Amino acid sequence: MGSSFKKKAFTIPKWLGAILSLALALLVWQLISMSPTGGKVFASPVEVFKSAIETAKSGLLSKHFIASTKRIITGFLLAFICSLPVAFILGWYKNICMLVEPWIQFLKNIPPISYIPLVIVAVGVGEESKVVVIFIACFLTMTITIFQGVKNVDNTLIKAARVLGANDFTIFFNVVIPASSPFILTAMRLGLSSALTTLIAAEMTGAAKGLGVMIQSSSQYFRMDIVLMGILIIGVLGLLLQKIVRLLEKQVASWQDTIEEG
Amino acid sequence: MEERKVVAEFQNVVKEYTTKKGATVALNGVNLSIKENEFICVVGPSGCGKSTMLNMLAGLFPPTSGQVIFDGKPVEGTGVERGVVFQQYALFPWLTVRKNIEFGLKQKRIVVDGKKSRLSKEEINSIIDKYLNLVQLKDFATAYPKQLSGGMKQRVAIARAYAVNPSILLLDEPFGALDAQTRTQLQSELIETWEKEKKTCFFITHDIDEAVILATRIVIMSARPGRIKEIVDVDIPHPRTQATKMTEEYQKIKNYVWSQVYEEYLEVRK
Repeated sequence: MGSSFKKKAFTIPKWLGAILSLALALLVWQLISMSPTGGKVFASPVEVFKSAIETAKSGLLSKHFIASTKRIITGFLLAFICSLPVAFILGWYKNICMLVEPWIQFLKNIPPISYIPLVIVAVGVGEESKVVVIFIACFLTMTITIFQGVKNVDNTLIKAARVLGANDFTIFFNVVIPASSPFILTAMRLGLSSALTTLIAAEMTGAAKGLGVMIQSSSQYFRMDIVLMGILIIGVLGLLLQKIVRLLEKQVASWQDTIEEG
Repeated sequence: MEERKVVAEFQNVVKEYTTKKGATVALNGVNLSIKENEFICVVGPSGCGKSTMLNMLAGLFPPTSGQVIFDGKPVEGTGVERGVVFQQYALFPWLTVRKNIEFGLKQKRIVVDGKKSRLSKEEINSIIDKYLNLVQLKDFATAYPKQLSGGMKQRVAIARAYAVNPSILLLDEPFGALDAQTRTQLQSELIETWEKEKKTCFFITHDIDEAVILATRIVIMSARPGRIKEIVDVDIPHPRTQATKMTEEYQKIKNYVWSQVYEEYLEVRK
């Protein structure tokens, strides 16, 4: 895209670029792990890889991974289901919006982790508390984003639908919802992001299993290889979730100008 | 010719807007009858309330006082009998060309044996095909609006408005955003379509050339607060083509309308 102005002396193929980029990252990592100060914190790539295999074999890794993913998915889905109608109601009814929106904006600025004590008192320390915190984080982010989408629906499109004989029901389902679908997908992406951030923080404050727990407990034994591995896995999990939304986006909103095809 | 049915009528129409600065009078007492098969063009300086007239006839908002009559009844809200083509095309970007044209047809109810019913799938498809052919976009039926040029988008919008078969077509500066060449081409196509179907048209424009070549009557608006300054009959015979613009009668009318509109531009600048 941006390189189109530059002279094309040679272009590296995409797959080779990916490999080179990975190799470069591993090299930098290796060098850091060999340096005197960096070595204390950074286990070498080989060590991390070894411990990954070790924890995977023992079933420990999948236990933590599954626990975290489950929480994210549950909290996210619940929040998604709730934020859709709330955002549409806010966008559609000006009076309700006037009463509710400032509070959503207010709550959005508070880090969801700060609710943990309240949530624990309310639902206990078990699985529910994590899901509830993720729910809060996702719900606020997604509601605001989808709401922006509904508010930004081009008024001319609504007029066009109206003069073509559409009633409110048709306008809502056949114009407002499809017109805001790009915002819905952006909301999903942002929601998953904040779900991941919140989850790890929530797990670190106490849980039996989960990637956050794994990182926290390993650091107490100074197993920096496992800590690093945990961090990387969280990164990979994040990428994976974003990729899923991206695929969905291609299906649902390929009509948009900003999404390139193919 | 004189005894044609009146399709729509503005009776003493006044429209005021309230803004932060106070009330602005957009239209101040407009009277106009639109007869069947007429092609009316409304010209005038910006802010003279041209689009306001169209929006009220479309039923998108009511007049402050006076009445807008359509088909013998005061206009209350929008209706499929009044098709609208917007300057910004207003195509649904998530629908293909075909589905865009289908949108209105799906809403449409026809009366069969005293009962309201939907159009059948076959009827809808044959209507879409007819208008895709008319606007020469048959090969783009499955394209999305983002893949079309401005001129093509506006053709789709015109086809979409025509497809539901309104008794009047309201066009709000439909070619205003197009380049000069595309604009001329679409004008020619619109004349041809009008010559074939004689659909009553109410066309807003700021382009005097466009008004003279298209219209059977030109309504010249005065500067704000908008009133009708003059109505000019354009009795240039049909069929009209771009070559019509070379004729003396065309030039005469154009010069006259231009001088009238120019007076109003000067008024605005004061």
